Amino acid sequence: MSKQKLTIVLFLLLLLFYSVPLTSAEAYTINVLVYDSLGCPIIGADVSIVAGNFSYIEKTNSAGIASFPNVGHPGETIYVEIGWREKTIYYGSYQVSADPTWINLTLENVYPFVVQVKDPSGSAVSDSSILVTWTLGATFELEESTNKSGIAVFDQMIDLDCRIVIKYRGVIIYDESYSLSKDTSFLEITAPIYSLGIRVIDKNNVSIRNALVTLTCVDIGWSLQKSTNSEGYAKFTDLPKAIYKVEVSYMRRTARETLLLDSDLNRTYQLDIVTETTTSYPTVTITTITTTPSTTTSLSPTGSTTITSPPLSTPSPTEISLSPTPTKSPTITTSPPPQPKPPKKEEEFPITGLLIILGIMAYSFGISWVILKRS
Amino acid sequence: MKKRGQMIVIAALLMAILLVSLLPITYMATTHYRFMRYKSVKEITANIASEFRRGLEAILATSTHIYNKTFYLEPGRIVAKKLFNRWVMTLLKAYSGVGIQVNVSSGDILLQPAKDGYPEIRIEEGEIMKCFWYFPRAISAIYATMSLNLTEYGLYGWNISRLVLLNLTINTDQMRIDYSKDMGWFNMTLLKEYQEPVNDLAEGTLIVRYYDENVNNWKIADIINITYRGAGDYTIFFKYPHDDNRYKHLEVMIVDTRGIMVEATTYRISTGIEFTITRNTPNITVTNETYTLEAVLGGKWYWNGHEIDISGEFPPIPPLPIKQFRVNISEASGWREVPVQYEVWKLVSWHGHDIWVPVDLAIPFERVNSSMRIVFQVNFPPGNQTRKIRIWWLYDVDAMPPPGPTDLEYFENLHIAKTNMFWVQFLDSLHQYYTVGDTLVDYKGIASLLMKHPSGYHFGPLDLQGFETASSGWIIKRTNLSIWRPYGDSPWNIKFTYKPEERKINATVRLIAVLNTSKVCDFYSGEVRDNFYDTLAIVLINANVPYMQVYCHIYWKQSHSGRGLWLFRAMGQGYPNNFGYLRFDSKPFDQNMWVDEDTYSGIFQFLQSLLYPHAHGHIKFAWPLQFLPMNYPAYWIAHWNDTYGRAFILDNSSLLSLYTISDQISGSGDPYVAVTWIKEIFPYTRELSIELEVKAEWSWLPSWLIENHPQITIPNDFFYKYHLVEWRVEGNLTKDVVNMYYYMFLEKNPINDLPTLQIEVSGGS
Repeated sequence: MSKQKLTIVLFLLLLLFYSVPLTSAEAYTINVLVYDSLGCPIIGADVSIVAGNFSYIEKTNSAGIASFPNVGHPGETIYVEIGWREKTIYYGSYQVSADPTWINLTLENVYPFVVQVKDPSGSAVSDSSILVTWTLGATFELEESTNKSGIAVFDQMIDLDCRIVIKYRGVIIYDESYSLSKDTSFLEITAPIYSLGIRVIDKNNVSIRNALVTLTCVDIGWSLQKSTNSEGYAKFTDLPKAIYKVEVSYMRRTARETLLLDSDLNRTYQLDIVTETTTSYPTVTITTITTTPSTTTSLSPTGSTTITSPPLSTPSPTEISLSPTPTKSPTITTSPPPQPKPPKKEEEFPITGLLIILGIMAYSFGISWVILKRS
Repeated sequence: MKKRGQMIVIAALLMAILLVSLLPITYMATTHYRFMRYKSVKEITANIASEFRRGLEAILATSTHIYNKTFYLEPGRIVAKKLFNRWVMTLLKAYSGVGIQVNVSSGDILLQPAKDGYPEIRIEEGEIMKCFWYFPRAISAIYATMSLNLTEYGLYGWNISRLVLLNLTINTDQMRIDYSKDMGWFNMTLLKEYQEPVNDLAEGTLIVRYYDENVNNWKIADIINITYRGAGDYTIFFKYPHDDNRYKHLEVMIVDTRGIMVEATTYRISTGIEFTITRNTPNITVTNETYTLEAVLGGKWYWNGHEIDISGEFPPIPPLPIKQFRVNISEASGWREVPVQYEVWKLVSWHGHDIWVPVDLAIPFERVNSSMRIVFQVNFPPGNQTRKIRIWWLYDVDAMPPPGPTDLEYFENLHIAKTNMFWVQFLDSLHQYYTVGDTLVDYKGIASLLMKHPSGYHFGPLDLQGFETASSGWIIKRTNLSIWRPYGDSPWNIKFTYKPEERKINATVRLIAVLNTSKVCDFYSGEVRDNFYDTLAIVLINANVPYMQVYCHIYWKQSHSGRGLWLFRAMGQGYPNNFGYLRFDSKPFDQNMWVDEDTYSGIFQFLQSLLYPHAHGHIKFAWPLQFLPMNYPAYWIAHWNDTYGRAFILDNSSLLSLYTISDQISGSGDPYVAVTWIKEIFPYTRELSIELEVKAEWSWLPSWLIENHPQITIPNDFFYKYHLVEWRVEGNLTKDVVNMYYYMFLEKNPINDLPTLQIEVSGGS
């Protein structure tokens, strides 16, 4: 080998030798996986990478991954910053080691915030609306509704000074500031939700059945209506603490009251009326043979069935009390509700014409029969 | 037998007679039945057709009223669909005995081809109804098709299409005024579908609005008379108690007896509001300037916080839902639509001082009012002194804010804004870290702005205020920086997305950031205090241009004494190796500097530092000692290296503000002046920052001596403000580049020949 060829070979070998580090100096891809404390991916978080004098920023995708192709050099220290809910929640440095370099981050400071709403008796309050608002320059808000267990979950929350507003049936039942952290991420709230029992009696203290009770929430405006039962009683449950207007009506007699409901409450309203046993519509009375005392069943023409029992003590005509359990179930016959008159069906064939024809035929046959008979 | 035979014959005859007699009866009965069936079907279909039309009228009336409240047609459409369903259900119930089957669908119909500058008017499949409003010809229309079966009658596939509309056309050529009677009038035509005239327009069903300059809003005019001239033509007489020409700019709203609403204006669809903008900067053959302009309802215009002069009477912007507005700029190839955004600004009293503050991006579904601004950019390429602009609005009320195109991006969780020119990281208590090379810096929650090159390279943050020098004995401590800087406990409030945010319609022209904090933070100890000064800063980051604007307002609530007050301070971190500024003096400053040729009327010079000196720029003083006049124009200073650089521009009003500050600050060596420092850090490192310090006098002392910052006392209840532009410059900055952009910020200077932006109305309604 001549000296010249040797020089060329050496040069090529040298080039090959240096080409390896040159190739390895290529920038590596950095993939950042961002998970919350439950291991769920955080979608839409801002991930910023600073590598040397260069900065990059991407949002995490549906798998919680932000990918930065060709940004880091082997052995280089890069800074990773994660922003979520308008706040920097993580800052750390990493060394670029492989292509791609995977940086898996499970952020313990991103956690679910669980709010459970119960009423004073300890029962779960469902369908209450929970609004969490906080101000970080601008004001942000999240809203969830409680499920059947009275629980609402706000996913992937961070440490915040927030305000929690709970509405039930449109009424604000809870409005407090709250310092949210991982230690305070379960909040149980006993909501001021009560019941209101309404008893309606007449002048003689006799319970009035079918009196209409209307309950209106003064601040919000919604109304509920119920009819009193056989004991003259109507009960409204799951009422948020608020001012209500109660209106009781029966046979053009009305009683009204405005009250603040801040505990379970029972109210009795006396109407200036004396009720009677007979009603304007016919009743069907069924008397059981074996039952003592007898149980009567009144049937209204509208199809609704009410059971009345004879008085146990005072023979007041409209006294209604709990009937003893009959030894034998009374047979209850309901009269069907009056059906609306079916629309007159248009005649498909002129009946009169048919009748005329039949009449003529009968007449013809009659004449024929008479003639035949005579003949 | 014989008799029996006769009887049989007779019976047969009778039977025959009977049968023959039955035939006509049967025939008559059958034909009568047929006739009855036909009549029933006809009645039913006629009824249904009539009800279908009435239903459409009711739906269009309801929907147009809903739109007039929400300025969003989709709820109206949803209501329309619900009403349709309800109507169909009612129909099915009402005609249940005849086996009715109904299918209602929205069809496609061309109402009017494109003509007279109006686009094609069409209701497309699935839209049910459309409203084309806000120009002299306005239409509200609904169109639907119904397919009907009456199975009991054997009727299948009966189809009917119905169009219901109200069409208002204002004759803009016949608008007149009698100033002596304070009365204006105009002619208009009101038609229903199939060109049927509306002849029963009453006074209460017509609203005419005009712009009233006194209240800076649109006002409902008193209707004097409505004259019907037949064929749907009306003349409307209205009261106009002003002596200007704005009676030509009207907005007319009509509700017909069916309840259908329509709204029109008298602005021409071909022009909208057309005008020219002239820049009066020098050297237009080389300068390439992009202005971000703001238009307000009453015809006022703003650039860089200043009101722009207007030649002529600018037509008022009509009170339409702001989402409709668009802006076009004329180019050689024709009109080009440019990005536009809508903002709400409010004049607030901040410690007794009136300040215009951006409240938010405007809600797109609200009518333009006096607090809204239409914002867009106008570019003047080299050689262009004027640009023709057209503000127009979409005819179709289904319009939404334009989505772009824009290079503006915002990463809300890290408070980082990006354009194709630079990044800005908003530092505050929630985002307090940044990196310098491989060093992580904890900025302790100080509210600051970190402008970066698109690669991420930067010189460090820009502090908006600073007070008191960090010192150790007679040597300035560490990096010679101020101690008390605005604290971002109340972080930067970024306005980038239109409400409701679920729609994800973002700003396209600029991002707005507002800082309102009452606290300051000691960078060195991290101590936070609230007894120094309050800061209200407004930052505008403009798309597609290399500058951001900062409006900073400072209010001292307590008097404090200390060494040094900085209006702003931009770090250098030792990176920049070039420094330049404009100065008044025509002579070389010192031997370390060289003087380039004059850049502006032989007065200002572009100076560039060749070395790393602690070179000193100045505003009011120069070397040799020399007072500059108070009407000194804008101030420009920059530092850069091969990769990146940035320049700062203060406008004239800000400089005047500085003089006010120096007049009121007490201490030795009055009057105080603003001095720019390029910091050299003793003994080995250089910060090479740009700082605007309020200082008593020129000092020969080295900048690292504490004595260089004499003790000053700032009074309490003390307010001042400045307006700063930070401009990202390229590494190879030259005076030519500087000349290309800084003139545009010299707006509203009292010197006559300084640049101004002029708007001249060349077209309109």
